[in-house]
Amino acid sequence: MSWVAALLVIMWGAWVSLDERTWGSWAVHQPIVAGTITGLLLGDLRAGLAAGVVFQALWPGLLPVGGSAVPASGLAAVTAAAFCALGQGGQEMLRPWPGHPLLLPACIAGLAAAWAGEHLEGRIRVRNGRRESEAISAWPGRPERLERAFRGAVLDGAARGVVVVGAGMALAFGSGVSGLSSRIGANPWVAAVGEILPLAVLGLCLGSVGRWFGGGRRGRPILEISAGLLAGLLLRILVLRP
Amino acid sequence: MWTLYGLEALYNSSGQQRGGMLRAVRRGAPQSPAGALLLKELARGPCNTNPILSGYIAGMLIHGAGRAIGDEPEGTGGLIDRCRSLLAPLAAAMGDRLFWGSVRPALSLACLFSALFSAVEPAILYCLGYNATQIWWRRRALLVGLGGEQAVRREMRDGRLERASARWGSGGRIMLGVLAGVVVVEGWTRLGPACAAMLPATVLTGCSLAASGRIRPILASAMGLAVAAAASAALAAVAGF
Repeated sequence: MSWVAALLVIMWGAWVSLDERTWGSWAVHQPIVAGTITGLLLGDLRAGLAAGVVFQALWPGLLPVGGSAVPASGLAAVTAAAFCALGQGGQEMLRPWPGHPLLLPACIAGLAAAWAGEHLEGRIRVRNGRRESEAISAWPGRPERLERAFRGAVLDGAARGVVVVGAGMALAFGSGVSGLSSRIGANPWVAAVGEILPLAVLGLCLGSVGRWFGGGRRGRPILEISAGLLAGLLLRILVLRP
Repeated sequence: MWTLYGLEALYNSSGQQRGGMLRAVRRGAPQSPAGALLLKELARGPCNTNPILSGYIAGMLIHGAGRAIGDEPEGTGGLIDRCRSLLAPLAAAMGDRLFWGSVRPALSLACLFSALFSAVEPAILYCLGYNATQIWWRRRALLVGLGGEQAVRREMRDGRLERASARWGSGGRIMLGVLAGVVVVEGWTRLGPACAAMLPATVLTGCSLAASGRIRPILASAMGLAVAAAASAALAAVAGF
């Protein structure tokens, strides 16, 4: 991987962070989008898609209850996609869902990135509170202070992405992830888990979204889910054949 | 409308979206003593609403700043209080239910289905679907808001947002069933009957984690991933990988 590609991925991480917390959103921070673009930048679209699918299924709709900070799902997908793409060794599509031998360690790195992003968000909010107080104390005489506070917040948002994705990339290089794939290949368990993991996480997604959309309800919601289930079974059996 | 995209930039626990709302309303409010007075009132306390529907609130405040009686906006103090205590939280509840609770999960399910069958690039599907929806609602919210407080109240009374949530919810439930059917058949076909044991285990885990409101999302995700990895390892062993 070239330095240019690494720089592009870090800049992409900054944009994902901005979209998530500062300027948007334009859906760029959604894991499926963030992961896919990362894979595209690193020349391994399937790796990006695998990471994006896992994190999109893990977090299909994060709800910031009471304004609480949520896991940085976009940064998680970028980090995990970078891990997979740097490790290489992705197989041809043997199954319809995208898998990768390094997906499990990549997802662990992604979770760490999500936690780091959430933690940094908390710090940024504290800084925002100070910035805003200073700007409001000069209000309305000095409105440019509010604009300055806004610019500071934007820079913090971008820096969050740079720090998290940069640290993830450094970890990937430092752990010798490109050589890791050959070691993973010698351990069939981790590789097999990486190939099946997206399907298992899809099961988690079905459970959590099912609980959200249909939990405790009767009548029409259950009918809608049942109709969809029947349609899905028929679609797969009759139309979408391998 | 574009200034409202930066509503959350200065988000903090005390003022919440105050800084972002001040920026947006300042750009649109008239440069007059009435406008200045309204902004001063707005700066006194916190403000929080759904970012996509923030146009209702911002538009309403800009409209209020423009309707001056003498040098003061008509009913400024009361308007800001009603915004903070009633209309902004109402827009937040409706907007969160619609966008975070219906649109995003439904689009996630659709793009996960697309990822399985490569019908449409999932990233493009999500981006197009979400941005078409949010841009439409942002524009509508601002146009209604600029019509004043009564226009916003009428909008919230007439049930348009609830109907949109219900439609997206129905679409999401149907998509949930479709994805479930497809995943079951794919799993059975590719990995054998042992998949019939793995999938229900992960579905139940997902249900349980979603129902447990006290666990932090990151911890719940880690637990879910651990269960999924264990299930995958067990399935790999049984399927003879």
